[in-house]
Amino acid sequence: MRAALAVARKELLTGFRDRQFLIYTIALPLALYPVVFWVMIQAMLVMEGREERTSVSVLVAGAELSDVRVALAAPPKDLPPGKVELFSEPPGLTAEEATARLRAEAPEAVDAVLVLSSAEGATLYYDASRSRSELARKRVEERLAWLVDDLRTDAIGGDARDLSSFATRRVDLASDEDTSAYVLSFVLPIMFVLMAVMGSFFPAIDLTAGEKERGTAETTLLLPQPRASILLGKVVAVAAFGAIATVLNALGLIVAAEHLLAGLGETDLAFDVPWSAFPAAAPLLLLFLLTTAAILVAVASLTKTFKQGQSMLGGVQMMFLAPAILVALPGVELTPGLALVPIAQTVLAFKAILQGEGATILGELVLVAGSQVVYAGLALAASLRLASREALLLGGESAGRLFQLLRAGGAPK
Amino acid sequence: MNAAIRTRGLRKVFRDPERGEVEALSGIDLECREGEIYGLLGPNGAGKTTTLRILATILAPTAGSAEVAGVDVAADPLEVRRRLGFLSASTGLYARLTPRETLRYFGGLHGIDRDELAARVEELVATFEITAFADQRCGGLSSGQKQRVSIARAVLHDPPVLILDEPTTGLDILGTSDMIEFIDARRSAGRCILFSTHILSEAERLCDRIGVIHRGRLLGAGTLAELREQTGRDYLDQVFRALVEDA
Repeated sequence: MRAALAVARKELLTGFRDRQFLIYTIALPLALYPVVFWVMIQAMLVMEGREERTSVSVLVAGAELSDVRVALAAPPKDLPPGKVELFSEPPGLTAEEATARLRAEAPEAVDAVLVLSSAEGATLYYDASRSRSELARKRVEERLAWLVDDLRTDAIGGDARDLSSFATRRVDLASDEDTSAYVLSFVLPIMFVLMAVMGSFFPAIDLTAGEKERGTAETTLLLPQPRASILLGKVVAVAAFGAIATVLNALGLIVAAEHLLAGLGETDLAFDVPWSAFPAAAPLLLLFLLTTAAILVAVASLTKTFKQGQSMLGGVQMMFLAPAILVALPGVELTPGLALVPIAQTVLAFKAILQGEGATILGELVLVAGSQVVYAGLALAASLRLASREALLLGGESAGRLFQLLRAGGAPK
Repeated sequence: MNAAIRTRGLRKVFRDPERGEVEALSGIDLECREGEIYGLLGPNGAGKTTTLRILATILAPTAGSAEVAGVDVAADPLEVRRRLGFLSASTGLYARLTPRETLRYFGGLHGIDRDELAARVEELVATFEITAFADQRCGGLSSGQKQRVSIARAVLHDPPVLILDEPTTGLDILGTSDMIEFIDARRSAGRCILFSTHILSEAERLCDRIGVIHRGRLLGAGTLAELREQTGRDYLDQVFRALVEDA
């Protein structure tokens, strides 16, 4: 074990001296989310401003009701601003004629057509595939709803407070931490799998195919320690890189969400991160990182160049992500059966722990931990078996010979 | 003198996906003694590197046996690696470690005590004139500087046996000269040196005994005088050709 730790320490030291490692493992996770969130918020603000300045044209047919015209053209200040240009048509406009006006070429085209009829009420024609038409619909609906409220208030004698007993008051019993945990439980487990694989991806190739390419594989084979210890040291180093990338990514995401989303002001999402869930999930996450590292090292050891490693691990990455995305969908819960399915088990267990359900599914969590230990052991054994194949020690092999290589005899220990 | 390296009927078969089974070694019997420089002479593809890699426990023999410093390579490969220094063109240095860190890393894994290791590293840094670049990363060193660090790495644990696979390949005149001096110095220290080469002048100048290997078979072995007598030729290139033609 001391030798494995010495190898892991050396791999971590050399890893942190590599610019690519630093960019992908540290700089990118730290900078990515604040930048992405900032850009998203700026884009939203720009879109909002543009929307306010956009004038839409609405054709009103049968608008002898001057209240409707006033409400549409000059709404009160508590409604979102935005100009609505009105065109009038006499009553009796048919659906076909309204559609023709919506589809007409400029300058006859309008963004929405509102047909008013005392018998059938108001009908609004719009085109949901056009952004200006969609905006016109939104403005007309908001302003008509305000007009209806206003007319109702007048009808009951002019005091709006008399309508307060019909208003619905929402009381959310979830704390900010509960809400944040619920939202994070859909995002973080997938993120964790993605980041664990991405964070381990580059180091796994670097410590296998990279060594062959740089001509240091033979140097490593001369170390007077069992090959199993050296491989374990490499797997531990890869898992550590995966863990660092994952932690930094999660921190980057949470901090960016906490500060930048809160800066939007009107959002319902008050971020209060459920930090206590992380120590509870840590053993499962660490076992997953170790298994992932062992699998990636095993597969990367089949290749002899960095390029080959990248293309081979690209497919493996997808094999990790597909089940993670599938089980992260709402409604999928951790059952005893799913607790035994690799990858899915980790996503569901992490999701449950984040949602504070850990205590109620202790049996399933024990199953997850137990099977994870078995999978980590199997992945390490397969990795060792492959890494000690003579055909792979200094050169590479095709993935097609994977099972043959797992069965064949190996090099000295 | 005792045999520091001994092989008996050493055979190695590789399985090539395209060519099927390829016999790289067909029963090599080799003996190198303490305090001796033994040169393994042969053209490219003769089996030199395979022989040396089996002795260094990088590859396993298909049949036969091999011993290094009295330890069987198949029975106890770890102990063999502890008693062996190995250097070849493909034993590169870790580019992101400095020479000092490289020596400390290998010394630590050889189980050398921390204080002893610190003293040994400084001794090697001084002996191989590494001081000026001892704390620069190996990736940025010249090929001559890298060669000196590699040699220091190979003799860090003062092994009784040193195996060098084409040690002068890629070196300039000064580097080659330094390497020849180093090999000579190890012999003077009573160590066994087995090295492979296809450069006849190197073998002629340095070796106490020479083994001629071709197509996985040892065609002849002995001192230069013995080989001359065996073939009736004067120069080593003629000796080599005669052995190959007789085979």
